[in-house]
Amino acid sequence: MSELVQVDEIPTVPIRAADIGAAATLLKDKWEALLGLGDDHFSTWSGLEPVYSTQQTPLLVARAWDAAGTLTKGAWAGRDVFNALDGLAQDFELAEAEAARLTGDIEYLRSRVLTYRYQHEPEYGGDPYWGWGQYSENTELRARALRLHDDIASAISRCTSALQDVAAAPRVCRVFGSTTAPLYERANMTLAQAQFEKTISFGILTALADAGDPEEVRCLLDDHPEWLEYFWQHPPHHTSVEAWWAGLTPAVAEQLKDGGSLIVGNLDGVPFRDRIEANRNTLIREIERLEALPGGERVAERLAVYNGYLNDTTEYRDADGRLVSVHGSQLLVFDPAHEAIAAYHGALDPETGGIPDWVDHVAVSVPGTGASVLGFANDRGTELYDASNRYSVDSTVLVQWCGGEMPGSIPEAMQDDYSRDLAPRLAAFVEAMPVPNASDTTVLGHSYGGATVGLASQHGLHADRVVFVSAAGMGNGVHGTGDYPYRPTTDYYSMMARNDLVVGAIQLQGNDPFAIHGQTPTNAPGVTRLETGQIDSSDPSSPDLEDYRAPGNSDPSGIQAHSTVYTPGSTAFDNMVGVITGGDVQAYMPNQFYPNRYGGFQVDGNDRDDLAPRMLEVE
Amino acid sequence: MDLGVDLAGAASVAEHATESAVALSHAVEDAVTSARELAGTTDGAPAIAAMIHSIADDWGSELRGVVGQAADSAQKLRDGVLAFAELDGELAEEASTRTPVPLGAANSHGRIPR
Repeated sequence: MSELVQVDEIPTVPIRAADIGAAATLLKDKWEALLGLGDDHFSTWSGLEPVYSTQQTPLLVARAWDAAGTLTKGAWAGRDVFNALDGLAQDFELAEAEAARLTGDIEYLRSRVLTYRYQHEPEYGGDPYWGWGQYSENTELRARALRLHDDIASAISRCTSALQDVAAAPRVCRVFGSTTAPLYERANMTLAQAQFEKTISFGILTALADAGDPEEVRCLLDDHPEWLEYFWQHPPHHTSVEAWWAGLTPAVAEQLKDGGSLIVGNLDGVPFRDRIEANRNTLIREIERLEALPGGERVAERLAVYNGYLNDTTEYRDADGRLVSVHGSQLLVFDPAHEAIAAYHGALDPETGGIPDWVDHVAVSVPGTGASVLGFANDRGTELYDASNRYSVDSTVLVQWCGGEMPGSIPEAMQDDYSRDLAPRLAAFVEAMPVPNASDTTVLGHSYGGATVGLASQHGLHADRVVFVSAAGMGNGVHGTGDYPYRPTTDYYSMMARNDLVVGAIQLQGNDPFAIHGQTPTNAPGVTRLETGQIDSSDPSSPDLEDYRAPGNSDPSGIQAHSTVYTPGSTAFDNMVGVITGGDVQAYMPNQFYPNRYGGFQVDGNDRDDLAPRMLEVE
Repeated sequence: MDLGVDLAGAASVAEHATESAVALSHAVEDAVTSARELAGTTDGAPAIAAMIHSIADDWGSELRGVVGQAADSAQKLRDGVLAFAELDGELAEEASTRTPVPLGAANSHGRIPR
């Protein structure tokens, strides 16, 4: 005997056809709107070529074409999704109707069977009783319910398959017929943009050169303050600047150093001597401007600092090692609006105005958080320069560089965008330095400056040696020296006091390439960690940097140790000088952990009796 | 100075290109939102809902990239037009009012330099 088919054997249609249809239609409308806007977008750009014929134009229009192509493909994808869902909605509409019919038919059969059973119960007892044809009708209804189940499953399968086709469709990378087209497009765009920016930059420079006299240059710049910002945002490549500057008459060069000092003084490719003269002119005018202001504490502070740059004595050694004094700082960068400043420590070649060819080592030192035009740790630059030339028979020159805004506080230093802005500037500055052929280059970065040097290295900074000093990291997103394109020809060093509390919390906890400022250089493969040692490297009884408290300073030693690495005569400082001058440096002495029943204790490497200092030769 | 370009015309293109990029940006977000809403109605068929989510994510990311590129192109054109316009003093004022390029104001961190 067959059981009576039940209504709950009818499969449920999982989605209401009306809901799918409405949502799919909305999707189609939205994506068609996108297609229309894509067409408008391309039409807009198509109007550019007749009115604007520059190096930018063809690639900007090509980009618009690329965008229109992708938007079209996106709209097609939306249309295909609509078609798939519209098909599903139609299938489900049929399924819903069939389910409704089945419900009625099953209920009708059920009522007939139950009525028949009731009528014939006295005759046949309580047994179920089926009337004529009801067995086969019951089987048919069950078969319809099963078919409906299959139909729903098939509709879902068809829809899923159609959606898979949409998902697998080629993306924008095929728009130009090649998966690599966007890479070429990006490269071409960059090249065209660079050529375009060069046109603009040299258009401005030509206008300034043609102005006639310094006052006219100043008037032009007063009328067009955007020009200064343009040079800040799009500095031309130093090779173009070198060629342009070399072609100027002395009178025009003087005119530009005077009237256009804010541009010329900060332009990579202009000889150091001319930059220094230009920045001195900017400094004098800034002082005059500040003196004309009503006053106040901040103006007074700034005036005092600027007057120091203008009037303090700078000492350097000449080719014979004799000490020479000059009036004022030798500023290679000075742009107060952008907190940019850099000072040169060393002699200038009398002919080229650059670094003399008898110089053996060139160093660039980058300070960290808090550096600005009001203070950029230039005294540390002076001390490194002085020690490098005293400790070694070789000659060294040094640039203390803060080429843009640094974070002003530790919370600000938790952001990487300052280092991202500074990194290309540092890389460009180092590339433009007129380093003599036989000289080597070392770039040092302290604290946030370390992360800046790290990102600059990723950006193509090319130096023989890089030193991460108490560094905040190797740069946001940097996983190791493998991310530095010049790794094969650059030696990397690091140093950090064991108890550094300023960056140690994020940098001494092990390898974390995803830390705020990237991988720690203290234990990154390919980076040689140097010992920070003692406060007086010549006195074995002097305190380690980890234990040292400077007289009168109430900061914990872990705070001080972040910066006491720059104490002249300390092991850390001597190691920096050793790297700059290619001398001997002391390798880091690893700590030792001694377990005991209370857990254990650690002995700093430089306190271990079983370890002797290990010296390394910097090649 | 004859720069060989119609700066007013180029400024107009830049202005429309900027508006177009903004409109596209909104349209992309609308399209992605509608795809997500569609996916929401298909929760009863999890395979379909998952596919629609995947398509919305993939195309959303692709189209956002394109729209970002369109905005960048418009910005580059605006920078270029303004720079040319500044070189050509006669059109400077007109171009700078038509193309509000944020040069010379706050720095990249949104702060006025100290």
